[in-house]
Amino acid sequence: MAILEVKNLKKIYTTRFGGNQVQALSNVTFSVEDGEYVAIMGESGSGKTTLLNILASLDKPTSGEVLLNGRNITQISEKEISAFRRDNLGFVFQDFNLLDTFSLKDNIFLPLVLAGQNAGEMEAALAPITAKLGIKDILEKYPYEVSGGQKQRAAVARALITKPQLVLADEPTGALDSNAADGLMDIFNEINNDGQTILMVTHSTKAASHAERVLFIKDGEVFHQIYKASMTNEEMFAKISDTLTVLATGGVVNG
Amino acid sequence: MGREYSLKLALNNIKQNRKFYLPYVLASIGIVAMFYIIWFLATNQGLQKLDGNQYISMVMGLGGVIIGLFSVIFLFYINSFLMKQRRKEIGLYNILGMEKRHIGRILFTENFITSVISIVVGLACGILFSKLVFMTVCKIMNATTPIKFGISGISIIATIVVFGLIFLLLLLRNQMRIHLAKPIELLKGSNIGEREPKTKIVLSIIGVICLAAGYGISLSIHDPLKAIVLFFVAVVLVIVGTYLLFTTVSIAILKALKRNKNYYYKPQHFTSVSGMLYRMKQNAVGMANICILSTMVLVMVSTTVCMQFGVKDAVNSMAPEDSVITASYDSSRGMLSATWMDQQKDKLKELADKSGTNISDVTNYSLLAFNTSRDGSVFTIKRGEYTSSSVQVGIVTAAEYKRLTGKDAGITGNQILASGDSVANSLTLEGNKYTVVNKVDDFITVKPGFGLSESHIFVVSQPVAERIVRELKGAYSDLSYYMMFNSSSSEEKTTALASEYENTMDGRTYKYATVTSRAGYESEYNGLTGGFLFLGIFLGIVFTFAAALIIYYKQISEGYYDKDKFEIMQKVGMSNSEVKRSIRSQVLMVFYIPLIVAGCHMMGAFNMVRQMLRLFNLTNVGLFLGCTALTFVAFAAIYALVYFVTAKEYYKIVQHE
Repeated sequence: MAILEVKNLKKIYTTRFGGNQVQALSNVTFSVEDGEYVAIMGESGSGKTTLLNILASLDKPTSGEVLLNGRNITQISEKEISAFRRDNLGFVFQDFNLLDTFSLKDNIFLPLVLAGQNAGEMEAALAPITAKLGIKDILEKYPYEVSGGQKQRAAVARALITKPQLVLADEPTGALDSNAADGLMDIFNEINNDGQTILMVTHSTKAASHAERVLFIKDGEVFHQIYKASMTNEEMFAKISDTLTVLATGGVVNG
Repeated sequence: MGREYSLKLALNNIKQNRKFYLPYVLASIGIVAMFYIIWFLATNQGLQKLDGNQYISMVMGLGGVIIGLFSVIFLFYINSFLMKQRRKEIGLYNILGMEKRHIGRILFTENFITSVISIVVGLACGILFSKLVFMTVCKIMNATTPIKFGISGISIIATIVVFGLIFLLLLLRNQMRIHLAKPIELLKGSNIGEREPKTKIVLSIIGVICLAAGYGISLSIHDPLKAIVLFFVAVVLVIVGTYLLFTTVSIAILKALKRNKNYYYKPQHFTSVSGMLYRMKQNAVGMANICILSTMVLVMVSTTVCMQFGVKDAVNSMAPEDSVITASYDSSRGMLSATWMDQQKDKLKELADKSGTNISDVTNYSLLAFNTSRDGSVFTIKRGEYTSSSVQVGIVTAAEYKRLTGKDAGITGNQILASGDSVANSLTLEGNKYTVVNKVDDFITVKPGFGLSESHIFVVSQPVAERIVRELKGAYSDLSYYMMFNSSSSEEKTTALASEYENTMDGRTYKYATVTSRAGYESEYNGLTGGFLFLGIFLGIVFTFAAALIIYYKQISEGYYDKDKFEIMQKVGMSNSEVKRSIRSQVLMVFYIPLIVAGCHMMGAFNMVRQMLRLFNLTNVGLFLGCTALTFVAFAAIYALVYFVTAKEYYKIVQHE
């Protein structure tokens, strides 16, 4: 069953005084199955971030639709959108976006508090997630007191605690060293194995090689896709590299 | 790097940073101008020679010293704010390859330019406005003779020296800051020190104790003389308490709220409690500064306004008639007879006719005044010195009462009439029991004690009066004689008549006699209260502007911080309006808490200031309450205006995409 369907998505930015029009997305169509782990790759300016912003309901497309569980999220009113985002989507950002005024625990609780849950429910939801992510002992610390990897794991916990339909990750390894990045990718695989659907935008070939499927975007269109199937991470890595080389040199991809 | 290049860069920097520099330069200009004006007034010869204005120079000099001290603290505070905002920029220069001495030179040039502008323009404004202020002061002082206006060379020199020194110190401090800083630290700039504040129990307790002690002193005082002595103690306690209240007590309270999970984890409390906690740390000192400045403005302006409005009351209570001749006789020789009193009235009228002075409302009376200490209904004659806890008693004989009011007192034996609500139906004086058969109003306008302490008039029969005279042996007592009249003739003629009467006054030789006139009191009072009023409003304006500037800088620096926070919260699932509401409520709280605390301080100080005003014969509590309330409302309105202007700047930063 497709959890996310993106149909003929188009986004045109108009500069403030109506002079230039920039086409960020020309025609994007793809779908994500329930429980799938999909990576989206592309160069800077290919439209990745625009696509993610639309999926996150932070931005509206010029035309086309995005169906999450059959519901068109581009039609949701401004009033409901925040609650919808909170209940159905989980976010992991490149720069963590943790608030320095909150301890890690309170950062993780933030979406639950906004949803109006009581302290007992929140504590119950917190325990299994933090145990899995290995941040149980640093929950009382503040973001500026822990490492980048630990921050990102806290951010993942914040994304997961609402049990979202879909986790959207925007360059999650972008600000991490290679060890921390590997650790984070293992965590993504682990939560994906538990049934969590993940959509990740990334530059990193290594990060993308952990995904089940990789979509390549170029000039606002889905240019190509690769299924991992039974490949190992290393084989997947090689295949993605080849594809990127072809993409960069402008050739045609076979297979 | 050439001299020209650093000048160009400096000018460019000032232009680019005008959002920070402009208010700073304007504030400097303002404070320089104020400083010049106040010293101009303090050293003005013509003003000193004004009738009854011997206090003006002293009062203005005091104001000059206050403004001078305040300038140092204020300019340093604002400068550090300015530098903090520019850390990143300076760090970037450093990274881009400028040596510290180059940056130092640019900063030196910038500081030099702004300092020179501040002093030159400030002096120009000062000289320009001193004329206006001067005329205002003359008006307040009721100066009839025109006073020559000029430019005060000595004040110009004083201003240049004082502010030259202040700006030099600021310049050196900024240079030192640059040389001590590390480029990376500079680049990180305002991100340093975001740690959550710690609870400081001991300091919190000290803060609460200081505040309680300050309020306690102020509220428990009933003695004007003590109030003056303890006023500064209370002020220092409250200032220390306020700083601690904002820096530690508030944090302790917020932390306690945070520990309460059922309260803390609610959408409406979650972000505001943690946000406030963060803000308190960043802004505690700024908020305390604003609070103290506001309190100073409120107390100063309300007190001086009250003094000004109360002048009439005060003069009336000290000199109810145009002219009063007071004489004091030795009481051991018995009371003055009614016949003698009437003869005196005739004599005055005779003298008036002779000199052609138009007088009316001629009254005279005598009473026996002495100090007692009172314990409920028991009065004991005080043989020691006068203290302000003494209760003044004035004895009037029944015959004198009848002569004054035309009514029979109707008392025999130990029956008396008494004035004052607090006197019960019977009382004891020096061991003798008296029955109060009737209460009397104040049929005598001048009462002993100058309104400083409690006083009562007892109307007694002749034998009782004589007994009291005997009892008074050894204690300080005063048989006072008052002769008063109104006059429609000139002041000189009236005074001459009063003096002539004093010289020919007969009876027994008096201990001393004085002649006072209402006009004399009035001009003396106007000089004093007019000077205070002017200074109160003048300093009030300076402090209000200072508070406004601190608020402005605070809003801007908070804006830059909130911008990031605003974005993150939206990404995590807070709606735009929720974020706005949350930030708005926090900003409002941060903004209005100093005002509310200042209002509390003002109420706390009310009693103490009221006691001190009694020294000026201002006893009209209703008037004082009105002035205080009016001042608070006016100040709150200005404060709100400042908020709306600065909040606009704040939202511009926060919502900028």
